[in-house]
Amino acid sequence: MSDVVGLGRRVSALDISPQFSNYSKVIIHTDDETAIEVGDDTGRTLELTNPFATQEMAENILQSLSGYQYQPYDAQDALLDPAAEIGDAANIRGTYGGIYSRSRKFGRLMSANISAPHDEEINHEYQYESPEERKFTRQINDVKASLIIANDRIDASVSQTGGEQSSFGWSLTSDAHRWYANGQEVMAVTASGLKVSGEVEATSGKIGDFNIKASAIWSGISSFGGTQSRGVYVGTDGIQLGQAFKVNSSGAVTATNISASNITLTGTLNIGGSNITAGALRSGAQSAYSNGSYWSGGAASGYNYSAATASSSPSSYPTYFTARDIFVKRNLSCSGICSADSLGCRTLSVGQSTAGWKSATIAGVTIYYLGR
Amino acid sequence: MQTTSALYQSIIADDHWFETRLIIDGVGTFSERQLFAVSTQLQMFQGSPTLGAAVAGEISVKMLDPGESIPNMATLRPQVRACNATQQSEWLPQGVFMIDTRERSVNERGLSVLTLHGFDAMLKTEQAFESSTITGDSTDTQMVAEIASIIGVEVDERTYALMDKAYTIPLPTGYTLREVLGYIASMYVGCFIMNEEGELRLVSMLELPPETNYLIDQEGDAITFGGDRILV
Repeated sequence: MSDVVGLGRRVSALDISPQFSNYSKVIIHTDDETAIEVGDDTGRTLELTNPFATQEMAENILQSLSGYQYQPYDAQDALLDPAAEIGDAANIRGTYGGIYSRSRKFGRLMSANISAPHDEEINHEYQYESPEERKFTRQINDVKASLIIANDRIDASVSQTGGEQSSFGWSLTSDAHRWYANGQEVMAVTASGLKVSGEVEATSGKIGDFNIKASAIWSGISSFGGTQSRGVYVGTDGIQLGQAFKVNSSGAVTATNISASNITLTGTLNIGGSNITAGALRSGAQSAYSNGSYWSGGAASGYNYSAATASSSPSSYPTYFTARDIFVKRNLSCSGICSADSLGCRTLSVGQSTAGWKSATIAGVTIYYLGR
Repeated sequence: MQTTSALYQSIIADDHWFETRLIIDGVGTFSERQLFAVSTQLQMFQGSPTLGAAVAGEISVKMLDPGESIPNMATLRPQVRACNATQQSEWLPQGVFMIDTRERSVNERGLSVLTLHGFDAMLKTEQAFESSTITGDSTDTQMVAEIASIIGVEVDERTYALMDKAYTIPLPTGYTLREVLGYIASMYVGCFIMNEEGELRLVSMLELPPETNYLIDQEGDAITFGGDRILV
C-alpha cells in the first residue's frame, strides 16, 4: 500500500487542474480492429491496449475504478522526503493526488518537481487542429488506406475515392495470404496451394507436370507429333496422347483401339487397305453402276448378281454383288477363284463353271458368293 | 514509501539536511565533495496519464573526474541520508542506474569534469521475449518473475501483492519485454517502474490510500498531539 506524504506549503509553485470525473466505461483494444467494451457513457472512458485482454479483465478493471478520481497537479521544488516513492500520495496545500512523476535534484534540501500529469486534451475547450493534422486529414479523405498489424494477422487495404472507383486489399494471417477486390476474395494462398477466382493469364509456366507455352499445354510430349511413348499434348495444332491417340487440327484421328457403340460415317472407312463406303464394301478404285457398287480392281468379269441371300439353295440369282449380299468369315482360305491385279487389288473371277456357293478370302476377309 | 529507521524519522522531524553519495560499481564511492550535480527523473507514464506503461528512470551526474577507468554500463547507485548537527541516518537508496553516455570536459576552474547519463534496468526490457522457462501459457506473476530474471533484477514484493487475479498470459512471441510488462500493468490499472532499490515494481493508480484531512498549521503541516495527527 502506498503512503501519504504531507508537503503542506513546502512547494515553490503548485498548478492544479480539475479532477477527472469518474470512469464509467472501459474499452480494451485487443488489436487495431477488435475491442472489448464494458460500462456506459455516463462518465469518463478509460481506453487501453492489451492483446491479452478478456471480458472478465475489462469488467474487473471497471469495477476497480468505481469511485476513483484522478487529480492532476504539478508541484515545483517540493521538499519531498527522499523516502517517498512513485505511487505514494501527496497532500499539498489541501490538494491530494498521486506522485506519478518525480524529477529530483540531489542536495541538502532534496527538492523535487512532482506531478500527476494532466490530460492535455481536456484543457482545450476550443478544438484546434494543427496544419499537420489538417494535412493528414486531407490525405486520408482522398485515399483511405490502412495497414493493420495485429497479433494474428496483417491487413492492408486501399479505397480510392478519386478517379478510380476501385478497392483492393490483402490480408496475411498465420494460415493464408488472401487478396480481395471490391470486397470479394480473388486469390488465396494457403498450405494447400493457390486458389484464384477470376482470370489467369500466362504465356509460360508450369502446373504440376504440365508445361504451359503460348499455344499449348503439354506433359512429356512438347510438340504435336512427338515420338514420346507417354505424355499428353493439347495445342492449337492438335491433341496427342502418347502414341496411341492423336487428332490434328484438321480432324485426322490416329488411334490404336476404338470401342464405340454407334459410329456414323459420312465418308470412307479403310480397313487394312479395304474401304467401306456408304452402301458397299470395295477394294481399290470404285466404279459405280446404276444399281450399286461392286468389288473390282477393274471391269467385272463373269456374271454379276444382285439380291443374293445367305442360302445354300437360292431361289433366284442376283445380278450384282451388293454390300448386303456378302457374308464374311475369317480364316478361310481362298478356294482358287481369286487373283490380284497389278495394283494388288483382289478380283473375283466369277463364271458359269463356278456355279453354286463359293468363297474367297480377300485381305483376311472371306467372302461367300453365289455363282452360276 | 521506503522503510526508514526511527533515527531517520527523528532527524527529519527537526532541523536537518540531506547528504548525497554516489556508488559506481567497480570504481568506488563518491561524496558530495566530488559530486557537482546529481539528478534523477522517474515517472509512471510520459505525457498524459496512461495505463500500461513501463518507463525507464534516468540519472544525470556531473562529478569530478575520478580519473579511473569506469566500465561500460557501470552501475550508478545514488544514496542519501538525513543529517543534523550530531547525527546521520542510514543511507537510503535512490535508484539503480546503468551508464549510457559519458563525457569528459574541463570547467572554468580548470577541473576535469565527468558527465554521466544513465537509465535504470527498465531500458533492458527493450528486447524480444525469449525464454527457455516459459514456453506456453503462464500466469501473470510467472511472466513478471521471468521478465525480471531475464533483465537481472528482483521483483518488489508489493508487485505480487497487487497481482491477485492470476490472469493467463499467452506466450508473447514477437513482443518485447516492455510491451508484456505494459499489458500486465494495464490489467491492474497501473504501470511498471524500477523502484529505489532497483527492483521491478508494479504501481497501481488504485493504490492511493483514502484521502484524509488532518488539522494543519499555517504551513500546511499536520498538528500533532503527543505525536499523533488530529483527524478532522
